[in-house]
Amino acid sequence: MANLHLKNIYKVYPNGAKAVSNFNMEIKDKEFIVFVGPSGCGKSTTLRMIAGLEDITAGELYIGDELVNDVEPKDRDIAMVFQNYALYPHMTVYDNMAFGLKLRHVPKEEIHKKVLWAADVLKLTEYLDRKPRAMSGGQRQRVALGRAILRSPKVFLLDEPLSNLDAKLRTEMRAEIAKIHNQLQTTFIYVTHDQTEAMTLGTRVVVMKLGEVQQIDTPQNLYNYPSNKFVAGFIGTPQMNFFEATLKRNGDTVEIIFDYCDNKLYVPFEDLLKVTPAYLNGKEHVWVGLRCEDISLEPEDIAKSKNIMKIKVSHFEELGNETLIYGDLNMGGDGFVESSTRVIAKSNHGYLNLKPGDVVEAAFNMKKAHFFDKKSEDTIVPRVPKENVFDCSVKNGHLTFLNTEITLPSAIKCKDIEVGRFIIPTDAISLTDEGELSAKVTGFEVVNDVKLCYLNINGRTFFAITEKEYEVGTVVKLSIDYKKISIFENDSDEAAVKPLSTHDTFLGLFTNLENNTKAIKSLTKLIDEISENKVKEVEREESLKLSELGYNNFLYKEYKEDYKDALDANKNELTYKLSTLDLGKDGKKKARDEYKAANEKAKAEYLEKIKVLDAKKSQASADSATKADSIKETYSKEIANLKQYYKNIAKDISDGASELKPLFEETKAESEATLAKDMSELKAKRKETLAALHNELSKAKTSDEKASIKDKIARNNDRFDKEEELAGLKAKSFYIGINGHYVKSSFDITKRIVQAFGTALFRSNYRYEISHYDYVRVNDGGLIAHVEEILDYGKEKFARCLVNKNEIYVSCKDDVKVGDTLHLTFNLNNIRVFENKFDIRLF
Amino acid sequence: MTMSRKVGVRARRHIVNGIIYIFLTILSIIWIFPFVYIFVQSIRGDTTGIALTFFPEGFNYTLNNYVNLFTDHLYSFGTWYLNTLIIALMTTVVQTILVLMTAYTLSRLRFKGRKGIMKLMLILGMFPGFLGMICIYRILQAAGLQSSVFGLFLVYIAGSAMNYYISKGFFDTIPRSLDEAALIDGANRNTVFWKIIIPLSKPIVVYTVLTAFLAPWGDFMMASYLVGRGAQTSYTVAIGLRQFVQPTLAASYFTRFCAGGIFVSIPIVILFFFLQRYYVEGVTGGAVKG
Repeated sequence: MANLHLKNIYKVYPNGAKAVSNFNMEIKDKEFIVFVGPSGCGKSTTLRMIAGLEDITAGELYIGDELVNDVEPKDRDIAMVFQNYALYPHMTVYDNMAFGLKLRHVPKEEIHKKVLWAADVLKLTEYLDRKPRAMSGGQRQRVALGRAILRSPKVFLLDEPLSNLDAKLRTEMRAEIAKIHNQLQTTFIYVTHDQTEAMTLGTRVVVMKLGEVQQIDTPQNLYNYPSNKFVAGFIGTPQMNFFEATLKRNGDTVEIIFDYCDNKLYVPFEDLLKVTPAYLNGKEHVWVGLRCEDISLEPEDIAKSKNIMKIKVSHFEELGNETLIYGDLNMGGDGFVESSTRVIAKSNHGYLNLKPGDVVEAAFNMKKAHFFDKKSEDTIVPRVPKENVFDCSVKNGHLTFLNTEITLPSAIKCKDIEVGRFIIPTDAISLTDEGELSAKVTGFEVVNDVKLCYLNINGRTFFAITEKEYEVGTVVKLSIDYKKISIFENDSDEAAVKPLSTHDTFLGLFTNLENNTKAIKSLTKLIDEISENKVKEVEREESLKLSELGYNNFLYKEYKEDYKDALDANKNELTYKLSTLDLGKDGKKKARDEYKAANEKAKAEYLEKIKVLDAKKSQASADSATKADSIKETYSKEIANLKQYYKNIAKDISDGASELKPLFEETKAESEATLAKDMSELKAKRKETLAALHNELSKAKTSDEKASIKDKIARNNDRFDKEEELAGLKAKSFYIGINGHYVKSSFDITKRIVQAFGTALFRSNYRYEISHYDYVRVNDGGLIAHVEEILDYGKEKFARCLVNKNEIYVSCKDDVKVGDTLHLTFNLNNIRVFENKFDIRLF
Repeated sequence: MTMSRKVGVRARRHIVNGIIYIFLTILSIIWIFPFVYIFVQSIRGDTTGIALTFFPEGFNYTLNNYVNLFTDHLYSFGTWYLNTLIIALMTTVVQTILVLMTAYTLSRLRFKGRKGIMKLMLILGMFPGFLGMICIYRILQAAGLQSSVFGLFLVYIAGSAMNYYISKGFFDTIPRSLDEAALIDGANRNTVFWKIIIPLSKPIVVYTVLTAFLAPWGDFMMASYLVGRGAQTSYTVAIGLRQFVQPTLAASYFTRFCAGGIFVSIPIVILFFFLQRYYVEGVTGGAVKG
C-alpha cells in the first residue's frame, strides 16, 4: 500500500538512445495505472525500472517515501507478473507460490495459510500439486498472479499479463484482475499494448510513444479529450477518422474546408471557443478527427443534421451487433487505404441497403469533432488553452484591443502596428481587485486541478487560469503580466514584442575540490568545440558572400553538390518506380524517358547557375574588390571576436578555479560537524534498532522465526549503510560553477547527479537555467554583470545585463542604473539542471 | 499408373535404406573392433606378448590378468587407480562448479569487458594445451609442485572455466524472466543460481560432469611430465599402464595392460548409466508459454 513518485526518470542507453525521456508522474495509493502504447514506446522499460530490474539512468523513483533507485528488487516490496508467466517449472504450483515467502523465512503454517487463501481466490486449490507444465495457459497465469498476491506487496506490477492468452480467456482474466484489485486495494501498475485493457482496467492511463509520455488521464478523458493525434488514433476501435482540412472563421460560424474533395461544413464558433485563433485564418492545415460513431448514414440522422457530406461506399465489415461501413470522401478514392479522405462509419442496422460504389450522404456530428495541428499533431482545442490571441493595434506605446486602450509599460518597446496580434498566455492574466480592465465571468471549469475561468470583454470570450473559483456573472478586474505577452504584426512571423524568458541559460561545471581540474578540462573542451563550430559557420557565411561577388569557388562547389544530389534523387526515383511499381512495358519506357528529361533539366539548371556565376566573376571590378576586402575584414574581425569571446569564457572558468578552495575551507568545518552529528545519530539509531532485534532473536523459538529476524537484521544493516553513505555524500561539498564563480550545490541536486552519473559526473557537461529572481547581489567577486538596460514592467523591474556578452535578466529595484556593474551570485531556488550531451533534465 | 508409381517409390526407399544400413553396420564394426580386441586380449590365458591373432590360439581364457593387476607388488595398479580417481573426482567437482558459475555469469550479468573476456577465452581455447607445457612446468617447479598430484589437480582446474560456452548456450535458452521473478520474490543471484537455474539445467550439469571427469581420467600428456617423473606411487593409470607396454615389459604385461584398460572404462560406464536419463530431456517445460 503505497504511492509512487517518478521524478524526471530517464533511461538512456550507452549509445545515446533514449528509451524513456523525462517521465514524471505521481501515482496515488490504490490507483490502477495502465501504461499503454505501441511496442518500443518504453512502457515495459518504465515498469522494469520501477521493479528494479533495469537501472534508472537519471531521475528519482520513490515508493512510499523511500527513494528506491539503488534498492534491490527484493527489498522494494513489489510483486510482478510477467507476460510469459515465469513460473519455476521444477516446482509444484504450491511451491511456486510459496517460494517468495520461504525465502523471507515466513513460518510454515503462515505460508500454508496464505497459499491456500490465494489458491482459493484464484480457484487453484485442486491444482496445488501439479507442475506448471501440466496446466493450461490461463491456469499458469493464475498461478503467477497467486504468487504475486500472497506476498501482499506495496505495489503490484503486471507486464502484459494477458498477451499470451486467447481472446476469451483474456476477457475472463481481465475481469479477474479487476476483481483482485478491488479485493486487495493495492496500487497496480499494468503494462499493455491493448487499448481495450487500458480503457477497461485503468483508473488512469498513461499513453506513451517513443519513450515520451503523450497523455496521462482517465480513460474517459483520453477518449473525449485526446491531447494529440497519436492518442486520438490509438484509443478507440476502429481508429478515429482523420481528414485534412483548413478552418476559416466568418463571424459566428467556422467553415471547414476539406482537402482532396469538394466538401465543406459549417460549425458554430461557440463550439470552437478554445481553438487557438491562429488556426482560423483559412490557411493553416489541420487534422479533423471524428470517431466512427459520430458519422451516421441512417436516414433519420441525415434528415436531422445540418452537417452533410457525400461519401462513396467501398466495403463493409460485419461485426455482428454493428456494421462498419468504409468509404471515401474523395470520389476517386478507394476506401481501402488509410488516407486523409477515408471514412469509417458505424451502423446499427446492417448494410442499410448500400452497395459498394454507391454515393451516399452522411451526417457528421461536428460537436464531437477533434482538431489537431497538421505538423505537430497536437490538439488545437486544448482543454486548458495556453494563450489568448486578440486583434490589436499599437500606437505610441498604447495598445488597443477589444475596443479598449491600454498603456504598455516602458519595458515594452513596440513599433507602431496598424493590424496585429496580441497574445496573452492564460497564466498571465490575474484576477485582482484593481486592474486596468474589467471583464465578466461567463464560465468556470476545473480541468485536472487547473481552474479555468471564461472571461468576456465586449462580446469576446477568452480564458484565464485562476487560483480560486469565480461565480458566473461576476464582474472582475484583470491585470496582465506584461513580461509574458507577445505582439505580432499581421502577416509576420517575427514577433514585434517577445515574452521575457523565465530563466537564463549557462553552461557550467558540477564539481568538487579534488576533481575540479578534470571538470574544467571537460567543460573547456566543450567550449572549444562550440567555438570551432561557430567559427566554421561564420566562415561559411563569409565564403558565400565572397562567392556571390565572384571571389572564390564556394558557390561553384555548392551548386555542383546540389546538381549531384538532384541526379541521385532522380536515379532513386527511377529505381523505385521500376522495382516497386507494376508499370508494364510502356510505363517503364515512360519512366525512363522521364528520368532522362529530369536529368537534362537538372543539368540545364546547373549550367544556368554556373553561367550567372561566371558572368559575375568576369564583371568583378575594382568596386567589388573593395567590397570583398571589406567583407573579409568584417568577417576576420568577427571571427577574432568570436574566438576571443569563447577564450574569455574558458579563461574565466580556469581562473575561477582558485575561488573554490577558500569556499571549501569556509564550509569545511561546518560540514564536518554536520557529518559527525549525522553519523553519531545514525550510529545510535543503528545500535538501538539492532539491539532490539537481537533481543527479539534471543527470544525466538522456531528456526523460521530466527531466520526471519536475521533477515531483518541484515536488511536494517543495509539500510543504515545506505543512510550513512548518504550522510557522507551530504557532508561532501559539491559546487555549481558558472563562468568561474562557484556556488555550493544543494544536497538534492548533488544526490540526483551522483545517482545518474556516479564518478563520471566530473566528465559530463551541464547546462544550468537560473531564474531571474534567484540572483543575489554581493559586494565583490561573483559573476560580473554590466547593466545595459532597465526594463520596467510596472510592478516589476529587470536589469538586462551582460555577463561576458551573455545576456541575462536580473530582477531588481530602483537602486540599479544603466552602466552599473553588479556582482552577482545566485541561489538554487528555481534552478534547472540539465546534462548537456543527451539533454537529460537532472533537476 | 499411380499404383505402380507407389510401388516404385516404396521399393526405392527400401533400397536406399538398405544401403544406408549396410554402410552404418560396417562403420559400427570398425568402431567396436578395438574394444572387442582389448577385451579378448584382457582375458587371454597365455602371456606371449602382443598377440598376432585376434582370438588366442586354443581355448585359453583366464581372469588372472585382472587379479594380477592388484596383487603385483612391483606395479601397484590399485594405487594408480586410486590416484586417478581422486584427482578426477576433485577436478569434476571443482570444474563443474567453476564452469557453470562462469557460464551463468556470462549469460546473465552485464558488465564491462564481458564480450572481451568471452572472445579472449575463445581465442585462448584455440591453442593446444601442450603449447604451454614448459611454462606450466616451470611455474609449478617454482612453486615446488612439479611432481605432485596436487600440482596436476591445479593444472586440470586452472583453465576449466574456459569451457563455459556450451553451458552458456544452454543457460541462454532459460528465460531471463525466471531469474527476474526469483529476484523479485526475494532471492539473490546466488539463490537464483542454485535453486532455479541448476535444477533446470540437469542435462548440461550432466554434460559438464562427464567432460570434467573424462579429461583428467584419460589424460596422459600433462600427467606424464608432471607426475610421470616422480615416484611410482604418485602415477595415474595412464602413466602406469604406459609402463606395461614399454618394449621391455610388453612381452609379459600386454594382457595385463588390456585388463587395466577395461578397468579404466568401468567408472565412465557407471557414470554414464547413472546420468544418462537426465541427458534425454530438458526440464523447462511449463516455465513460460510453450
